[in-house]
Amino acid sequence: MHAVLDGEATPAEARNLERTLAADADARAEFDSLRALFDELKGVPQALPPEGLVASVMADLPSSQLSAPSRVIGARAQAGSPISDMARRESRSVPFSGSRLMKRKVIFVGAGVAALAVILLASSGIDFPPGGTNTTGAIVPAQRFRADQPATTGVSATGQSESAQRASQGTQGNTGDARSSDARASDSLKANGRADSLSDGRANDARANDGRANDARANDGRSDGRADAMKDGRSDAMKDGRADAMKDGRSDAMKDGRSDAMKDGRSDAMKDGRSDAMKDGRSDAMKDGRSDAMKDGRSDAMKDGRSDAMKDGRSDAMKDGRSDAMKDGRSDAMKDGRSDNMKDGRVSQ
Amino acid sequence: MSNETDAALLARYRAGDQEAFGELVVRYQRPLYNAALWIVRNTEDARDVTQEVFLKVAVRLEDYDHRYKFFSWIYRIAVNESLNLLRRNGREEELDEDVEPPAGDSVNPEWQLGEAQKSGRIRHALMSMSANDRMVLMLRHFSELSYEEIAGILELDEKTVKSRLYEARRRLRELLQDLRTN
Repeated sequence: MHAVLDGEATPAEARNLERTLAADADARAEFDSLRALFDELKGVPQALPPEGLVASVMADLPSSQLSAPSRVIGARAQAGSPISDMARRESRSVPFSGSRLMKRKVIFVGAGVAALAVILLASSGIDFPPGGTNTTGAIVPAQRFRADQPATTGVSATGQSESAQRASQGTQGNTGDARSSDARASDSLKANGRADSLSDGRANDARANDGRANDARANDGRSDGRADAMKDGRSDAMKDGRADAMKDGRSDAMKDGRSDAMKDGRSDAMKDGRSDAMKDGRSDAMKDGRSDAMKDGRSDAMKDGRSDAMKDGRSDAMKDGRSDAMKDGRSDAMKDGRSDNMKDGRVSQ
Repeated sequence: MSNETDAALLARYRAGDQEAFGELVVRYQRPLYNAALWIVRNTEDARDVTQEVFLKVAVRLEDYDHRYKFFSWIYRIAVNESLNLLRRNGREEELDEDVEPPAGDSVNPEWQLGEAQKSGRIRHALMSMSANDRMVLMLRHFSELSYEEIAGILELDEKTVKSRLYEARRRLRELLQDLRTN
């Protein structure tokens, strides 16, 4: 019975069984039961092989067995070939080994990221501290504002004293140093002993304006120094140093390091390739890319950009511009100019 | 799938054509995977065994005796790898209940349900049998190999194969009878 159902019986054996089954009901029942079992076994579905099995096998195929130059399946595949399609499809998810290649790539990526960070740092550091070109836009309007003051011509026409003219001219001519103009104004005041209250008031008014101009410059300087410095120093530095560094350092490194690592490293039976590749690919890349970039990009940038800028921009501005202005220009102006002006100038006008 | 014979694909592979070996892998991955799965009863182990078999085939290709069929040779490697895995584990692994058979072709849900229940019962019974019983039944009924081919793979004579098949079927019927009554 088994041999007949297995298709292994000879024709003579098959004829013998037919005769037996025709004569014996029990034998027929047994045969029917056995045939039902065969049918049931035939109906058992077989499992599908796991996805990626072909690619895994091909990835780990020993290249030493072959004389073909390429290990990449499908490299010579013809369009429409099932194995080519399958290999192409599966090779995306199942990488092949090659951790040494990956490590070399990671080194190049790390070096590239470090070089990029240095370039970004250097390019962003050129603007620190803000140079004269950065402050011109703030000072020139102040100079223009001062040049249009009516004090000099107005006072001259009404008999302004020489010292007052000198003072006002001094303030007009001196655009860079509030202290020197204030000193000249102060000298002129001393020499004339406030004889001419109008001219004195105007001079002081001019000085006050000078002070304010300087104050404005100081403010501009401060705002330029701080805002630009902050803007250029920190945000650009942060932007260039960190974002680019992060972007280039991490994403490229991750991209190259991990995907290549994954691509190259995992196929090695998921044993050596993935852990080493992941370890070397990500940590080195991260280490070289992010920490150096962060270190160079942010700390130097912060250091050079913010502290110098803060130091040069704000403290000098504060030191030279605001404090002197406050000290000499505004306070005197407040003290002498505005009060005199209030007293004399505005009344006269 | 390519219509080339196994011998032609092997010749291409020996000449350096990797794609030819890929064709062989595509051709035999399913029967080898199922053979391994029926023996080791675990999908992950079956996958590992299948992959290992193909790699061994690639490495030991020079050992292949062309007087025998290629698939008999790789089946033998698969069976030996599976049995080695069972031996290494020291005992038979727990039955992997996650093995999902592919859906049937029929669109009739009731028929599908009945077939699924029937095949599920047989699978359950088969998986509870010994590795030797599973192996011989698998090779005959699922791989549809002849006595001679089974004998070649298991390195037994044909009479022993017939005897083992007879005993395995008897035990399977008993198990199924128990399952029906329970």
